[in-house]
Amino acid sequence: MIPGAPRWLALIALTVALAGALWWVDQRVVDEPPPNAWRAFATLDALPPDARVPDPTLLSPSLGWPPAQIWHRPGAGTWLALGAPPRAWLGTWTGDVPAALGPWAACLDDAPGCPDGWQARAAAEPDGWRRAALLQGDAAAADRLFRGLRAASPIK
Amino acid sequence: MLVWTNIAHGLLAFFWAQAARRVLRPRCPELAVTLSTLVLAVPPAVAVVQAVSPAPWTLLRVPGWHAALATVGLAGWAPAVLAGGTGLLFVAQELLPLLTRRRAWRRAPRGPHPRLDAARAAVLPGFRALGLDAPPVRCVDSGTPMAALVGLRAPEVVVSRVLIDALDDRQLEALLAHELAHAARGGNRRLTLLWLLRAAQALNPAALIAFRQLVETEEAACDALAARATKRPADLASVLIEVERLRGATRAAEDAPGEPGAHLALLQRRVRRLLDGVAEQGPRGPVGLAAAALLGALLWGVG
Repeated sequence: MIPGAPRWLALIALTVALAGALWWVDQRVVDEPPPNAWRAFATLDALPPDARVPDPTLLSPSLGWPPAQIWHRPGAGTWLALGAPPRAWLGTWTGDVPAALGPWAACLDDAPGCPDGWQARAAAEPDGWRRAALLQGDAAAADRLFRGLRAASPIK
Repeated sequence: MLVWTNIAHGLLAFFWAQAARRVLRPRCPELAVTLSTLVLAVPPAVAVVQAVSPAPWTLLRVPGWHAALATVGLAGWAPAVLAGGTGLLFVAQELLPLLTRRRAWRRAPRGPHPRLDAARAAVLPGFRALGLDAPPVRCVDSGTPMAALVGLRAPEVVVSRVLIDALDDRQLEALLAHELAHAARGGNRRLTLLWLLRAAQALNPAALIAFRQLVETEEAACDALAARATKRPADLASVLIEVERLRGATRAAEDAPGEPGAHLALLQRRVRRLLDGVAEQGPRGPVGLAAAALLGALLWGVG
């Protein structure tokens, strides 16, 4: 019998339990989405080359750059949240929007549930993609932001 | 991402070590030092292993956690402030005091002292009985009460003259036994290696806490070894109190601020441990290797 064997067994059991707990929590926090789903990215550099990201020089500096949230779906577009909590959302996309947009998605359809004080400007572009700017502010600021977004050639 | 992985490894290792301290026996300072050492050493070692060979299992995906935290606005300034603050603490708590101490010891003239030589001769048999040897001892002509093991290549124990004059023969032997215990436990070479590991993880708050714990428990481990070698723990307890009394008098004379409460609480714990007679033999066998293998396997899957 190894001296102190029960205590070593207890430590091994504790280590295995800790590993199991880590794995369990990780599976819930980092739920790996399917390959064609919207995914969060930590930095713009991590985005694939075909992601459409607007030129930040055409945006108001008060909105904040780099984005606090970056959502991308291969072949289906990119959504960026500026500020935390978001003060603006910028999207270039086709198809459906990411679930992370939450109540702001209602602003795109003038549907009930759009947060108070938010303005949405969206348009379908000739290339088949849609562009949208959601902003917490007045209508004139939303117009300016959307014009800037449409004028901006994607940097990526 | 390397820094975030190191921080995740450090925090996990720290949590695991705290649990291991409660599970393993004997509950002695030597075990606490071993576990704190693992918290410092295993994360960098695992980073190297992961670079060469990723783990066949995944327990925690650090990039995924980073992205998840980013979605709730917690991956930007908050961790940066935490890591930056930890880095500043490293400079203030570890780097500057080290440079100041080195300068003070280098400048002070050293020489032999008959009472020190006699005290060394008295404690040496106790160390040799434990299979240990002892470096030479020297007197430093200084009015500041201090004693330390100095030097990397040719270490020696130095004791200030004011301390030699203030302690009786039994207390001087106990003081030397404590400093010789530092040498027997690997001395400054081991501590320098651990300090470098700490410096390499300057942004990791777990490394900060683990290194502080290690420095404190190392003192207690040397107390325990000295008590076993001399078989007179009460003498060492009286030395700790006397040194603190002398330091207090020196500070009062210089109108310097007093020691923080944490320092006095640590001193109280060391004295109590000595007087309670808790000088258990440290863990036997390759406890460190076995614990390192367990912790390494756990951290290997985190990256």
